[in-house]
Amino acid sequence: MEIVNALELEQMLNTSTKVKKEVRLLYDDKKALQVLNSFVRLANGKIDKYLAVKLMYLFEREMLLRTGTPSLFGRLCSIPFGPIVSEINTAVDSTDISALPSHDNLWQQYFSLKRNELTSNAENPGNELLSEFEEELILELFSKFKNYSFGRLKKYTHSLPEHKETDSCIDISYFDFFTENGFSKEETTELLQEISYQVLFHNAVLKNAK
Amino acid sequence: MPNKYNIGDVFYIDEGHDPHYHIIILASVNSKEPMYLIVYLSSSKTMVDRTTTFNKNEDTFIDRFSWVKYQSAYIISETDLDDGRIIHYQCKAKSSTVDKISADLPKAKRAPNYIRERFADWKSDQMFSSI
Repeated sequence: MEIVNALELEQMLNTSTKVKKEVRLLYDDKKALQVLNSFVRLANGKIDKYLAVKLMYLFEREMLLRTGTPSLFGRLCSIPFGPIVSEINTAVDSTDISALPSHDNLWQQYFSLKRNELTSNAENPGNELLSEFEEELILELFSKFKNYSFGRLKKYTHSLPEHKETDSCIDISYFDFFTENGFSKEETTELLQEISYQVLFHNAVLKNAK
Repeated sequence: MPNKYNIGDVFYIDEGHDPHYHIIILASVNSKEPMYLIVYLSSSKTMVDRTTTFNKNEDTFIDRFSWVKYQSAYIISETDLDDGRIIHYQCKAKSSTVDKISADLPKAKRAPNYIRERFADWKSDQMFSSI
């Protein structure tokens, strides 16, 4: 995989269907579940769905800004309700008590969604996939945003530089994310190279690893 | 059955440009299949994790400033590591390199919890097995 410049990487990571699919393979559902569970537990077991989904996006966002590397590798999108991690939005919706139960849906095992309130079930999915850095970030984000009203949180997330107002769904590429947040072309190229190497390493070696 | 790979072995993946090096920091002594804890050296100048850094020439394979990307530390099986089509053996790291990483890993805030826990468990297994 020869890497030339940021534009080429942009094309590889976000436009090429093959690479896009490979990046998506890195999406870590179990880790996302552990992150969400940490937020819900900080909220004493019950959290507003909108706050939960936004906290998950802000978590992935801050990991990118502070470490240059995604934590969850989900699909970042702008939608009418602001930016989200697409897979997490879908997973949270799947826990609605009216949704069809599925024995292989981990999220249904740990959460229930009723009238926009997400409740954690008794079982704890653990925290072994998280790092101390991530646990501190979860606490920091929860402390900052826990008392935000729907309107204030909406205004805040819609003002983020990487978000684009839309009536549908627009992908937020890593290239756009970094450049819109003030990273130079050179820095963005380096960060995208690191991410693409992680994709390569995962696909080459780690398919069966934990 | 003895492990095929050893602590300090340095590998890279043949990807057609500057290699990214991975170092075996610890091996399991009790698991059925040999397992290895490996870390990755990054030479990116953006968003450096300063927990463990290496200067150019601090080890024979380190030809530029590098740092350990604990966020991307993994436990990997011998079967997965044993794929000669893509993974190439580079050299043996100096013991000072392994010692430096081993001393920092328990306090590396970006390492996943299971990596730090497994490291502590395997270290104690290693100590008991050598008694």
